[in-house]
Amino acid sequence: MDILGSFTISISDSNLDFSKLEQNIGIVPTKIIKKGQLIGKLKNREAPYDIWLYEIKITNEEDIFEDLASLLNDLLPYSEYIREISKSYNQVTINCYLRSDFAQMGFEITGALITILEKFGLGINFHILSFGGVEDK
Amino acid sequence: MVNDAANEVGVDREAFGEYIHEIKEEEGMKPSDNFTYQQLLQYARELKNAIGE
Repeated sequence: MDILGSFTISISDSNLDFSKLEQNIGIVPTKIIKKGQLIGKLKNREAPYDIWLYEIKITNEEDIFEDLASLLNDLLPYSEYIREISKSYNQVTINCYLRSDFAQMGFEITGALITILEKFGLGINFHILSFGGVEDK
Repeated sequence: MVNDAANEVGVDREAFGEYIHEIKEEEGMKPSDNFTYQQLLQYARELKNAIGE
């Protein structure tokens, strides 16, 4: 692997109104988790929050933010609503989950992408796992 | 560290990395919330058990 991962938008709180989210965000979530639901591979832990989550896998290692742009484009018709609920729900976040063989990583977020992000009033959280390698040549 | 935990327990590091991120996502963890080595070992064992089932 070089870079693997995904971009997600995650809406979470101790008590989410899932039906309202469904009415106002016209895309099918990748995952819904209900507080208290058993999670983990062995289903041995209780979910601490309700979570509504939409995910796009990273497919372009050369420019990972193309995949973020796809996620934001899918959500753009609902940006006003997302901006609004980010004020009332505990967490409304865009997450970037990255896993890389390499210790060295560099990314460029373009001004155009920041402009789109601004419509949502959200920043990005980066969760990075590096396996610390270097290229041979 | 993640690599070491995967090796110690004997799970594929790529699958383990994905699982670590899945846990962070499902637990609603912040980016700065990192796991201790003991927690990494625990989750690597979970993954190994799940794969073995």
